[in-house]
Amino acid sequence: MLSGYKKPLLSIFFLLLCNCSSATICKAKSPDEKIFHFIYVDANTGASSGGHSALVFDGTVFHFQNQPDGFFKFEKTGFGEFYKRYSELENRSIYMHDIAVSKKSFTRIYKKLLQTWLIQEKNFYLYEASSAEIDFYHSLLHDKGVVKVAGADFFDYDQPLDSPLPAGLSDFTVHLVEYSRQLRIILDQPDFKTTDQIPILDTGRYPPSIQYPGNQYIDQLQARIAIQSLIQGWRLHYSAYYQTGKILKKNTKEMQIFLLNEKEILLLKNYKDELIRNIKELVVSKRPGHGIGLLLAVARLQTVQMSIEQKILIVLDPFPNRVIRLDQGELANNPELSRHYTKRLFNRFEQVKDYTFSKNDLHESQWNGFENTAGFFLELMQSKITGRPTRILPDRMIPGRKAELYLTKFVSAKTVYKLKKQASRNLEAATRRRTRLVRELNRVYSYNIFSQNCVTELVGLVNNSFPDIKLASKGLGGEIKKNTNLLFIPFVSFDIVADNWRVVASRKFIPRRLSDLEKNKQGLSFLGRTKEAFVFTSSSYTPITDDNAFAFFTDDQFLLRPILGIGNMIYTTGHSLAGLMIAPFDGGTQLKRGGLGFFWSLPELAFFNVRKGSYQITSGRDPATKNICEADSRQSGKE
Amino acid sequence: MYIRKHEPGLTAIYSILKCCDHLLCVEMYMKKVLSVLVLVSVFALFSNCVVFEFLSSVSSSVESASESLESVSKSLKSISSSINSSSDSSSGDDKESEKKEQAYIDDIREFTVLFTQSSGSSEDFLSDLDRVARSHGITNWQARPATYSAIGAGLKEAGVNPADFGQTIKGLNLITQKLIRSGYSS
Repeated sequence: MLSGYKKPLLSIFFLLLCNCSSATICKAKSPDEKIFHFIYVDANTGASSGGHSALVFDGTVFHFQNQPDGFFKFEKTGFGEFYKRYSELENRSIYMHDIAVSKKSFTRIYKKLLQTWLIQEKNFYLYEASSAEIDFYHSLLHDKGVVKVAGADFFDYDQPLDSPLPAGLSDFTVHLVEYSRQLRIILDQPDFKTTDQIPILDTGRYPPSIQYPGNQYIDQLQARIAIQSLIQGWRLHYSAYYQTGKILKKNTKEMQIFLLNEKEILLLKNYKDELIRNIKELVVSKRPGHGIGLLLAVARLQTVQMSIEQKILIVLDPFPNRVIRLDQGELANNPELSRHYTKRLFNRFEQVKDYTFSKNDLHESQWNGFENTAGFFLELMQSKITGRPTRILPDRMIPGRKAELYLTKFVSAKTVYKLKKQASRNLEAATRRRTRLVRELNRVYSYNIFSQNCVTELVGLVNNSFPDIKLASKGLGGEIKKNTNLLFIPFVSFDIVADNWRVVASRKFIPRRLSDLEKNKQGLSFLGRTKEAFVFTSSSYTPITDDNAFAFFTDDQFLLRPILGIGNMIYTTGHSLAGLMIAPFDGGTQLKRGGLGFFWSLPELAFFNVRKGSYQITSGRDPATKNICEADSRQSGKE
Repeated sequence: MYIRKHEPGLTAIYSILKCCDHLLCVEMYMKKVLSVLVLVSVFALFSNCVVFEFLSSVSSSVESASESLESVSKSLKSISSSINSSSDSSSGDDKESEKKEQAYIDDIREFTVLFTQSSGSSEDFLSDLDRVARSHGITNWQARPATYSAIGAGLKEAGVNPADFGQTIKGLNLITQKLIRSGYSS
């Protein structure tokens, strides 16, 4: 199932497991100063094979990356997540400069980076919303009154609840009926006017909004579904939540952690009251996005109610429609991986539960985080029982899968007819608009190895945070122009930064394999060290199919690098010849691995190492930044 | 240099590698340039046409910054009655929680700055606010005090003067005014 994407998928999964709390890495010595960091990640085969650069502000990493869809995007992530990806899974060294600037300059640059990211998110939202509207029009035209609506699969429209509405809502029924009636009137009068005009996009200017009448219609529809579910008392659909009692075995430690004590039940009762308040507010609200918010609050109310009644935690299924699925076969064939998965997910859940329920009250963002962590764990446990693939996704998820919905359940047949006519009239303009947006996004978010790459864009943004280059130079301790010679090469840029900006300390985060070696270094004999240099006898590394073929590690062997490189070339030649013979049977996989292995052995002849091997799972190491900072601060200073 | 210090032999070949990398890149770049030259020309021509259309369409809809401020004011009036006083953002004593809360506040504040400096209706403001909040797992952002103080801080950062600020929050209930003011004066 995972085919060639196995490693990235597993990597994504294991990023979920990291405790991505991002440490404030080093503190400035002067109270008027703050430290930000410039990062260089060294080379390895795969993405960013020539190295990578990033900036870190208060534990938040900003970096530019080429996306699989071809866009060159600005990413914002926690340092923990960044570290796990590059140091743990991709086995690369991370080099870091501490740059001391005034608090004012620090804030100035941080805000510039954040604003650039927000502008980019809005620019891409214009495209995503445009696509969503086209999907809505398409479904209206191609299906018989069936449309896909987010959150529509929360409820079983044929199953009423056993218990009536909670006390706080039962006295609200008259209002619910009235608001439902009003929404029905709005929904029965669709009036779409989609234009094909779009704004000019820019990385530095917040774009004006575009009207999406189709999406606004769905928002109203979602609100009506939610209100109807309250009036009719529809029960949550069995697939919309995890039935904890059926998934976990009784008297196991996993089950114990899901059971609720009196204090936890009291906390849930308070959260239930908050949900009821939110529902009342969202019912009367006319703000954009209130529909899905209301649907979610109503669905969560049922899970919280069930949790209180059954004294066991029940959460909504947080996974969206499009997810990465990990075949159970993959786990069954790799028991170590499976154990690792289960243990890490369980520990993470236990930690989050302890934290969440240690509070005096619960709020949506905490509940959402808790829902995600519980969901990941229960998903894995459920997959083990059913044999179904395990769903995985790296980002934070808000429950609300899209599901098909018969429109006639909520609007008249006459309205469905009107909607179809409107869709037919607007589809062409909506499609034209999306095409233009894609063209604009391609123009704005494109990659150029010399002038628009991961380093040049970062340096450009930092400079642009200041009114002019002179002030930038004053604020940063020196001047680096975006078009400085060789700045586009990540490892060169690291030196340029050291030479020009106010670097007060530098450090290196040792990659995964070398860190493992470091631990055993003292006990290693010559034979032991030789064994570790050989891929097939290394105690830390297990060859994986996604890495290209090689026999010797050369990243920690400078003088022997060309000799080991020749060894790698001999090995990969043999690997390729064998691959050639079995190509009809394995589709050329081994041949490709051998060929790439040979290619990446060539730099080793010139004392240059790119390939380092990579891992499928994280080891659970922490960046241990605090100790490193203390050690480095003693020998700090620009060289 | 840090790399030089920790990789002794690297100094010797440092300048050669710089040169090799450069040459390799130049070669790759030249091939790329040649292969896309025709496409680029066609695209440039086409882009120009589109740009003209953009300009004509956008020029008619551009609003001034003060109108954006008016939109923010209108938006606040439509949502501020929902603040949940018990939902105090400072309840988290955990570092991770504080960091998440701060990230939410930062995003809302900077979004407010950007919106105030651009153009848009009150519906646009609310729609974008909803999108930003959702990226933090929050759908009931209208009930969170942190949302309002972040908007206040954003108005201050955008350079809204006290007189305009007073006008923006005029007519809001006292709790909302207090929260927005706290952000504005922080």
